[in-house]
Amino acid sequence: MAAPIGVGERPTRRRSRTSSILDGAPRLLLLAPVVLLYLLFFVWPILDVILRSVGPNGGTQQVPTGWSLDNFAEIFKDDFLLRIEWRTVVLAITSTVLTVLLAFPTAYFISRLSRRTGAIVLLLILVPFWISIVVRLFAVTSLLSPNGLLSEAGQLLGFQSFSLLYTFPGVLVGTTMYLLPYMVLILYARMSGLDGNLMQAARTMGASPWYAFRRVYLPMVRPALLSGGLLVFILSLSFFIVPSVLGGPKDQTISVYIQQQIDLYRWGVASAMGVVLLVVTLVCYAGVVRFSGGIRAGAVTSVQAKGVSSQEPFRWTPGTVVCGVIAGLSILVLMLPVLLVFPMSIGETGTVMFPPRGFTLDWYAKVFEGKTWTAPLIQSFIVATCCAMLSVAIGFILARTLQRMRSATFRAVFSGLAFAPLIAPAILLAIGIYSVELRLGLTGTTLGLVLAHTIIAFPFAFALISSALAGVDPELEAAAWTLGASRNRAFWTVVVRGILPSVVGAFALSWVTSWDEVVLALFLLTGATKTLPVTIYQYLESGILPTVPAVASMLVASVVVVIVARAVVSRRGRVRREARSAVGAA
Amino acid sequence: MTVARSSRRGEVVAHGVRFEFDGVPALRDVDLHVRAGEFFTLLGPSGSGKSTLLRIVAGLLDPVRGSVHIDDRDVTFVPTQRRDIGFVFQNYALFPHLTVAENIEFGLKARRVEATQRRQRVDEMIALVSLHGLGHRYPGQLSGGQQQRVALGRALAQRPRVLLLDEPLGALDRRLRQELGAEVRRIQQEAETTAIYVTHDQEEAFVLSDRVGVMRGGLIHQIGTPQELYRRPLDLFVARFLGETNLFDSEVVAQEGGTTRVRIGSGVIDCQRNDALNVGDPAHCAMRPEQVRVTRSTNSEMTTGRFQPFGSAIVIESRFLGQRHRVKLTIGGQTCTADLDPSGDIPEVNETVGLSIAAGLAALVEREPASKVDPALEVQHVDAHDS
Repeated sequence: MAAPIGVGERPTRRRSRTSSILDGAPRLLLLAPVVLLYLLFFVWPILDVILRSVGPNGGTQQVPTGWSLDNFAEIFKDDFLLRIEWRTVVLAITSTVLTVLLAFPTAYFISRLSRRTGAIVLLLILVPFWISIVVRLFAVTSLLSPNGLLSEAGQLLGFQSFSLLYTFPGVLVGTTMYLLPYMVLILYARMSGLDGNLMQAARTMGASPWYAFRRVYLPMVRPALLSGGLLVFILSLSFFIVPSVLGGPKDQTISVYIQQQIDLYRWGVASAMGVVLLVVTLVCYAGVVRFSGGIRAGAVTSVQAKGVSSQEPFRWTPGTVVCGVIAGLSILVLMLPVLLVFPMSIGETGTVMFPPRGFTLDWYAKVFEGKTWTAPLIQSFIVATCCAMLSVAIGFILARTLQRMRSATFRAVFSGLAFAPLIAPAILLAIGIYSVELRLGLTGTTLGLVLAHTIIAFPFAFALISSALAGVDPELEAAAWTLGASRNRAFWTVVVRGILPSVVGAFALSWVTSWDEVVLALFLLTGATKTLPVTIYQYLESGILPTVPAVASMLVASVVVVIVARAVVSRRGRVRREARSAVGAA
Repeated sequence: MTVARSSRRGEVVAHGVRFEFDGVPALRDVDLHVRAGEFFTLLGPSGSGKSTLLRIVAGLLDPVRGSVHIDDRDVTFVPTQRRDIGFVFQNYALFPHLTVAENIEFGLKARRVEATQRRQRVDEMIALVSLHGLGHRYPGQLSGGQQQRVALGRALAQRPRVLLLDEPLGALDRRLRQELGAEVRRIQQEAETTAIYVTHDQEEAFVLSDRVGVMRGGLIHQIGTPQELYRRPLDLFVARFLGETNLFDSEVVAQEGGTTRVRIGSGVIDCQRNDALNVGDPAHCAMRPEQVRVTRSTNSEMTTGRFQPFGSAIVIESRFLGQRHRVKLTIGGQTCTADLDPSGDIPEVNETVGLSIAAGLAALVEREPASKVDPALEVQHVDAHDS
């Protein structure tokens, strides 16, 4: 296989194109199924919904006859629909504002902590982020219910028993809990990258802390603030699970309405709403690109200053105290529901309550009796594993293709297309794929769900793998060739081996994406065996059995184990890397 | 403010300043007195505490104890923004979202200087740091040297009493460093401000400074003009850290007049007087390579004139370096370096030569424990006799 290379001859790019596994004609062969999958399960579904929205009777026939904008007209005329739209927008705006108000001080506080402490506090944000939203919502329902923790705490303080469940504030708790980790992570990434010297520089020039914050800090963080805010707003516009679990009939959003309509097989208005959602999302996303793409910051040569100066020393000032308190509140909002599932799972009573009465582990045993839980567990596991393997493969093929592209425009378009499934509103994708799979006869099958999940999971794998590949020195691969390694061998033993941690990360991320996914699974897997989140979701709607907190506890525990293991492994990897670089230096 | 008074602004006095990182002392009760209008350099290896001291003067770090005065005003508890200083950071810390002019204007705006005055001052500063026509650029569009000038102009815009510079040339290449070093000195003189400059580069310190303080392990070992430090190091660390030095084991035999007489091997030479030593004490005799005289005949003019011989050596290496000719010699099992005039008489390799030195030139420093050999390796350690 190896094309022999003469001693001292420099391997050129042209030569490298000839025989590597992902090069030339084989590359196209590998790319073709990916493109086909993308067309079938992403492009077609969206086109389908668009066609249905302009077709008569929801365009249920194969070939639409004529078209009209009646459905769109109805959206903007019908009082009932206008109310739903208004509610959705109000919910999205309040959720976004609340999230930003909480996330900004939280991220600021964490970014000011020492790297070590910061990493631990960040873990408290990350653990809830990785736990399925239905599990967290389940805990929130019992928190907010009339005999829940919140109400009981209120009664201790002398208030009446109350319930936030099925109210607007209740929904807001859920949405904020859902959005907070996204916003904190986006802001933290920016804030922790800021040069602490900048704020100190402002002070040496006579700026008061407030002046420096307004004139230096805020402008530097603004791109992240705006793009993060818009991203969170996009997510809030297509809220589906949270309002449908926590909200009352008056809190239903566009997504919930769409789902109800599709259940009744009324596609017309639902499709039109999906399209409107898509358009609004795209407009907001254009804003995200504008803000995060148009930054000049970071262009200054940043020589890592010495130990003393690299970080602004942490001081307890009124500002950091307030931020610390808000950070504590944010972590409480995120962690309390996660931790609450454990005590709720051990009560002896047949109904779930908090605080638990008595102590028993029977519910854990019951989970493994019969097929109520074991079947969904196995189903979810199969779907997630298949989806993760497919996603990593696709991620590799796309990342390698991107790596070979020279034109900046092509690269931008290529990445844009690859990330598009992440931006598309979940409900739109769900009904679109549902419609396509109906035509293909794939609904209700495991394969249908795996392919659908792959569409929303592969962009993560692609992102991780391509950024890892970009970090690999191309000279390394060339060096392997000069040592006589074949293109294949060089690729697998040098390139892939070098980015293995990222590949594992890509697998884990796509796995969890599929494992936690509810909306697509709700539409597509209509058969007897549902996935785990869907099963929990249905119990949330019909009524909770004590086995639900037991399952939730096991899910939470497994996520915690994985995250802690990852932290340990990556630390060990870091130590090993440092040892290696020390060898290199010697 | 009158010219006479303004030229005397910027005296900095630090007294008994102590600082600790997580309980590890980084500054051990340091005293510092920088005179108004002077260019003072803190010189030392990394980790010696020089940046920490600078940041304490700036108020960016709070000392555990001790006080800082600027022009007789106790600023120990005054926040940075009210200390009337200018600070140039090692990585410049220019605001990337502001243009060059806006960066320079920042401090004036923060101090609510009126707009027309502000513009005028910005133009002055741009002229002072020679950045004509670049005022509208963003820092990211400038070269490293230009960014450095912006940082300097920005720090000087509000006419600070003291200009503090934390290795401002560290990120630049050698040629640019020399060029800009001279520039920094010129600008400081024109701006009539006191400057405290932190560096680990001895050449830079010598070129720029009126006085230099040599730091190690959180202490200032010696303060003096570059000449004093080079000619008369007070301890082994200063002797080795500044320039190259040959150290010979010696024993004090007499204290006479302006000199201290020591015995090295077979010779007896007169060195600069060091009152800390008593007759019979062991001491290091420090000679600069250009002070060592090499003579081809081991006997000739041995005791003639002011040159005093201290032994014979064998040439083991001989290199022409342009301005000087360097020979490495071995004397009594020890290697020693001498710099000779390249146009003069150069001994051959393996030749036996006589070594001598002019009377009163060599410096004597106290012997330190054997472990204190490499100054760079033990910066964090406590010096038993220092503390």
